[in-house]
Amino acid sequence: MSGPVNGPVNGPGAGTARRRSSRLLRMATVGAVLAVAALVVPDSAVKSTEVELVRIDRADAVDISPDVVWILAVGSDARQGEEMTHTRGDALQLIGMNTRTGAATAIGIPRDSWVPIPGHGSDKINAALYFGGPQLLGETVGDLVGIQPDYVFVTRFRYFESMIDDIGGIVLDNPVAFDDQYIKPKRYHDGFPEGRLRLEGTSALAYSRIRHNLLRGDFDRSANQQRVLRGIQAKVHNRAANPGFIERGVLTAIQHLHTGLSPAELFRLGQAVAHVDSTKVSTCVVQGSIGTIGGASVVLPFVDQARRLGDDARRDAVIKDC
Amino acid sequence: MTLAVIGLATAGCTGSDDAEPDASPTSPSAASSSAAPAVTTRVSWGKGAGALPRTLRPRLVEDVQAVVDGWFDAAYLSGDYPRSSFVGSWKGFTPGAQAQARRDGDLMSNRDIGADITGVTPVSRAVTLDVLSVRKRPVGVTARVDLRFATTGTTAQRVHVAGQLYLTNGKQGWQVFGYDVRKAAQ
Repeated sequence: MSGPVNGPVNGPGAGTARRRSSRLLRMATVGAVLAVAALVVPDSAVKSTEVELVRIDRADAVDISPDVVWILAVGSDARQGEEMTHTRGDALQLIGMNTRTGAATAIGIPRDSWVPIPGHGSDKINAALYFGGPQLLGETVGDLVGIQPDYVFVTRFRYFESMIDDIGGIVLDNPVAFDDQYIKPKRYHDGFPEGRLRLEGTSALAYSRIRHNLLRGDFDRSANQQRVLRGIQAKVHNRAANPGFIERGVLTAIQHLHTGLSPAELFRLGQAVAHVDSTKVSTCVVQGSIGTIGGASVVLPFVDQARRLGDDARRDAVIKDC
Repeated sequence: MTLAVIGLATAGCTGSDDAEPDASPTSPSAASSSAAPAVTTRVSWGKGAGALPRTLRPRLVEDVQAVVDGWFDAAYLSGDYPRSSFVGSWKGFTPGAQAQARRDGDLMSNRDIGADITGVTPVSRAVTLDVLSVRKRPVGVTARVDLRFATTGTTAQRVHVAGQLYLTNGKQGWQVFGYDVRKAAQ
């Protein structure tokens, strides 16, 4: 969301005062947030099960600021024929948006984080999607960070690629060069160099998935996913000025989403996403140590850090320090 | 003067309406100056998405225009200037949007200059509707607004208000839940 410019700003013309304000405000009790992907659903023959958006019912909402809404964005690696909402989520980002200030934040959760899953003992956090679908995954991530998401948004990788292509690709700044022996997108067949990158769908997906050659593995991958999210948001924000862009995006999202949200609610969410102020986006990844449980490599997340991030961002969707 | 950025629609708008001008409903301006000529709001269709039967368009235009005109008039054009109170300028807004507009009162009304002017004369007023329709019903509207007026008094100037209002239809009818508005004075 574009931040307001308070007070007059002197323009080049003498005597001209300019003021700008951009606000997106929530209506009734409905939050205004949606994973950016939902705005830009490609108008192709994608099955409705490519995307799942679930509103998390809440019995007690007293801790939720009326201006900040939280959504858990999940990238599913479900193969063709697999039920997307009962596989294992491969990418987990808890996204908060402040519809009053335009701030947004993303808290990355390593997918191999070993955590308690309500009703299922302890397991890797992404197993919650398999055990109980988006509701249980939302609850599990919420317990770790201390913020229960208002929505859980699940999409497949294939859909993600199409979405990136539909908005004309994204631009991001890659801090460290890396590659992968098995994941070789056509444009970056030899790996991703350091510096500014222009990624189309296949490259963006590869950039989001590669972890083996990253120095800090899943932690760095989660940070890369956040760079992609920033790139998507910036592109959507820029195109939102085009008349009809939001309406078209929401309509196609409605056609492909499996959700109980009303079209009007999706429209409000879509407008909110488009108005996030790119200069007010903060991101962090929950850190942890590497361990082995039951023969499997897992991340033992720093719960104190996760809670601190949650406490920091809960009310304003801003993280001051990772 | 500044203008809201109004670009071309992206390609492939599903079921979007043509950008044809609709029959321009008239709305008498409520300029405070009794001698001011009536300036009507020109309404046109923009780039929406989804099919909306033509039979439903007049009602939508009427409802949304009422909200927009209500804001134009109460916030900028009507009232006895000089004035300092702009309470009630945002009756067509949701409660949260009203509260925010109140905080942005210098922009979202004439609160910044109201005490220094003696009258307002409307020059032009227009709104373009980008409508989201689902199952042949309108569910969301981006109203691109453009209002120009001149003021008299200590702060005699030409003012241009432009931007977007975002509306959805609920129990209270069509209401503004968000906005992105610029105001320029010269």
